Amino acid sequence: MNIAPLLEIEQLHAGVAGKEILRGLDLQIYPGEIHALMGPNGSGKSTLSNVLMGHPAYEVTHGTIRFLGRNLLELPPEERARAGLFLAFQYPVAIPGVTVARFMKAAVEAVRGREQVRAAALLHEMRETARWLEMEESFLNRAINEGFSGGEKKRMEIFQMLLLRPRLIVLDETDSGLDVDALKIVARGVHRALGPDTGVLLITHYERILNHIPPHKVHILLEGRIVKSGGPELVAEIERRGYDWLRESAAATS
Amino acid sequence: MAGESVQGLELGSVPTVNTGSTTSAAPTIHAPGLDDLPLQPDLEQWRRLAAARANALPWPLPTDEAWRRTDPRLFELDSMPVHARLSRRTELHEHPWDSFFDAVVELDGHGWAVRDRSGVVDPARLWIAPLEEVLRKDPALGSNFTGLSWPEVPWERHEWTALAHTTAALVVWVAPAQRFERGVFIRIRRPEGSLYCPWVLVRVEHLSVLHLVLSVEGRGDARYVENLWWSVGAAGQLRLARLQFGEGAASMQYLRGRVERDASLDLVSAQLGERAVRSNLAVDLAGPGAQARLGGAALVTGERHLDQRTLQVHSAADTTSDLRFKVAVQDQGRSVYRGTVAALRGAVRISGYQRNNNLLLSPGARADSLPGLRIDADDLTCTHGATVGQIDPDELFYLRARGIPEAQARRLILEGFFEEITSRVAMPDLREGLRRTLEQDLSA
Repeated sequence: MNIAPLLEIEQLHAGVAGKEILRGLDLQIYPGEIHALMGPNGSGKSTLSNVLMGHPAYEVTHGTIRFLGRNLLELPPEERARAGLFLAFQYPVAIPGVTVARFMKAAVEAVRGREQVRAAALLHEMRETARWLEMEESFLNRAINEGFSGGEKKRMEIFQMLLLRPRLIVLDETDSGLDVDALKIVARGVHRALGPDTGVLLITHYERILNHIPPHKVHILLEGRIVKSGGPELVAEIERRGYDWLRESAAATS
Repeated sequence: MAGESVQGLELGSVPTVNTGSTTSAAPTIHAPGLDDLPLQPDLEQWRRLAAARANALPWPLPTDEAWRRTDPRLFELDSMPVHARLSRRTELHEHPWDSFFDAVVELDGHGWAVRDRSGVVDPARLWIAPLEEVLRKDPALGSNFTGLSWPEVPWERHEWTALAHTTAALVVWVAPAQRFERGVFIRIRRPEGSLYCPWVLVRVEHLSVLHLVLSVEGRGDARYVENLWWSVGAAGQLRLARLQFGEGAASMQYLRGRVERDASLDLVSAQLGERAVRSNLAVDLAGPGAQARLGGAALVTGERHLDQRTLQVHSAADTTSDLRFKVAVQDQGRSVYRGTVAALRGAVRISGYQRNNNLLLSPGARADSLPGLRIDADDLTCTHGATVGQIDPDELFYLRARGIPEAQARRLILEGFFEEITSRVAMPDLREGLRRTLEQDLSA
């Protein structure tokens, strides 16, 4: 097989505030694949998403990340987004006074290139996308995430994902705090964004979202390392047995 | 007339004001205001009384409580010659915003002029004329401006000096029950190298609505002292925007206004220029049901100094005031804010709100905020608060994670910071114009 991976993580060590959280993480994602990364609280799931996107508070002490063949760690966050990486935030922040429409115009212009964007066509695309996600059109004139409900915030993330057309989508616990209807809309959005060139990394606690977005591969993250990888059957096993049995086997191998 | 005023008159028949910071007299105990010096048709005599008032007050010292954070030497008025009084004629300059208005008034170093774009300027409807002329024809008008004195804002020597030296005193008077399609635009092009003191008096009679925009611009060093007074009659509305541009001058602004029964004031103040600014805003909610919304947006860059004082006086029951002043400070800029919400005795069931938010954009920037309340009434709601902080790194990261470069992301966040104020500008065209001006200032 000649296809190059979208994402290649090798021996990644990283942390925040001087504390090492990821301790030798390896992961490869190929185009068209959906990967689920599961793990208990504190296992390093959110650290991985922050490190991937380039949050300045996180420090990589060892290892490499290549995205579409480029050294991701050399790029500032905005360059990563322009290269095709998208992170759906677990806790999207509110930005008072900046409307969704203004924000997305700036973002789409940055990602697609200013000369590629016509204002009227983009506005039409935003309206159509909002409608498709069953959001009120007035949402475009609201300040980013300000006063949004939990479900609205997550839909807002999916809205941005659809407009930015990324190559790799990282969903950081996008399912947490969502009711079933909102979860279905989120899943529908991800399926719409998926294509043969696109990859997904689904970071989650629960199997619930995996029923809507079935993964090809499942990884279990424990104490900063992937301790087990497998197919979708691993999800059911985690539901049944929890993480403790893996903790014991991880301790035995390290 | 009070004995003290007569004494002042005897000081001399020529209005001489010592504008120098000579050795200071004893601290002020009594700062007489307009209540015992009502405006009168003989404006020359009135100016002499104002000059005497000025001479009777000491210049502030850096050790005075009110001036501890703002060096009064920034505002020494004696370093510049007094600008000559003005005649009516001057040239009107075109401005891109002119088409937003019914009438455009321009004041500059030569005089003043009005362009009546919609045929609304008429002494029976919208009267725009020099104060002398208005007081001659309608001596009672002056009484609309008494009562603009409170112990919390003593009259300062600078403002009496400015009144005595007023370069141009202009009245905008709106007859009862009038409303205009657009509004009035006063543009002040302050001259360079002199002490220039415009005085604008606005009276909106009952049931009328006036949109008024006053903008000040100018280049080079100068001393600028503005007195802007207004009163809004019963159930009237004044939508006032005051925009400070300009570079290089020391600018003092004394804004005093009264809002009567069921009337409303909507003020937006933008401080976007000059080297040193001291602005004083005092609003009296004088009649039951009166409302005031007061918004401030300020950007302080370079080595500029901005000192803003606000006073919301609730002197009647069932009155509402809502003040939000936002300041962004960059480089070595310095901002001082001091605000008071005062509820006078008997002002029951009032609601007073005051908030000052400061955003520090550079390590060398500094902002001091001193909000305060003074309550002498019961059964009311008064809230005040202040913040001094930096751009939230998580907000910045969120925008950058969507491909927006850091500098542009910071600008967006700043525009959003000011949007709470710019969105309060009532005229849509002007609101857009102000947003664009801010965008340009932020990208500079």
